[in-house]
Amino acid sequence: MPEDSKFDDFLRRETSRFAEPVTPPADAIWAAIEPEVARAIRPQDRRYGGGTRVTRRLWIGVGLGLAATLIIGVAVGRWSAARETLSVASVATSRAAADDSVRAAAIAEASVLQHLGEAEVFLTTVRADLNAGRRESDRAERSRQLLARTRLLLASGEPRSAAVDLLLQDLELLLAEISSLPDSGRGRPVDEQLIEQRLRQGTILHRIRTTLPAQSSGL
Amino acid sequence: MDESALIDEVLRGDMAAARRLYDAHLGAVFRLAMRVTGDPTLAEEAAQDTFIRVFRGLRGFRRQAALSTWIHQVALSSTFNLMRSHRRWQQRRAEVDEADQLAHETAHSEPDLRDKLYAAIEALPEIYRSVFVMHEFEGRDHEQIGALLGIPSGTSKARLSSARLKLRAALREFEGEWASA
Repeated sequence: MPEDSKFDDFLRRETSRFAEPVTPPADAIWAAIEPEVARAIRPQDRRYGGGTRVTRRLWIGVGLGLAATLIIGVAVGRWSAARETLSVASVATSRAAADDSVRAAAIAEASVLQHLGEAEVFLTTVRADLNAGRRESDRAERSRQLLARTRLLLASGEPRSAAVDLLLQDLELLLAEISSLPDSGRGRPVDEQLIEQRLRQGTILHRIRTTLPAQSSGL
Repeated sequence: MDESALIDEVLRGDMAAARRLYDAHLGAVFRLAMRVTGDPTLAEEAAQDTFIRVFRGLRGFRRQAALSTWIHQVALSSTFNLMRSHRRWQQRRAEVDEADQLAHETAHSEPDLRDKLYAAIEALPEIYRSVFVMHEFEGRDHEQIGALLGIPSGTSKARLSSARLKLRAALREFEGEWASA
């Protein structure tokens, strides 16, 4: 059918536009991610609070399973004698489950708050540098690192408030713009002016700062 | 050294092993990112995102699947995410740069249709998307795809055909554009 052939041609055109082989800058990419890689693969502390999220959840799950089994066993054993025991067991089980979800939420919240704190420091520095016409050599690299972490947080799927989600999305865009500013003097002054203006007059730093002190409220 | 032993070394915090794992897979990741983005800087960024996610997720990696297949999936997801946020960034930049005509650089060649195509590829079920990307973007044949995914080459062909049908259905409203392009 001619439409099939046209559609195949369209797909072929779109997917083969960039087929030329390019050698990846292996050392440059590695240098940019090395600190994050080191953090990611660092052997975990086995004490309470250590371990990856997955292993922590696994142990929490195992603990909850054992606790639930014990409680249910005791409850079933006493069921015929005293129905009140069941309600105590059920309260204990739901309290343990609630503790688990509270702990997971606290870990996610701490990650976001730590990241926002670092972003605030960075953006404040960038604003001061742009205002003074300075160019810090590590600005692009630092913004790319923060950008990568922002994207990971956005992609993590952890529950967050809509306001914090929006804040992370706006932060992502701003960091992408900053990372595109060249380190040398080849950049268009208008780009720097726009970013400086957004940092000075926009709301992002204000929103970060108002989020940071509210550490006890849910994100 | 086999793959599983290399992963164990990495998970013990050995950065030299991490670098070996990175070197073994960077070429494929970068090639994929380059073919999807067409931009070395974006491809570099996508490769960074991919490997950070890979090393962060390595402890949870289930070793029944080949590491290369999992990394390929992570790379695909990272690259499409990046393209989406880059598009948002370009749109915002185009707004402020309208006066000096930069918008023309970002608006060539049916941007809506291309966005729609990327969105449709991303929305394909994983079994179809992997085959489609490997065949169309990476230029692999069905024998290679079958070996990588652990499926017969005939299954790869069938999945590619289904993927094309699904994409065509998803892009039906743009038929006038792709048919006349």
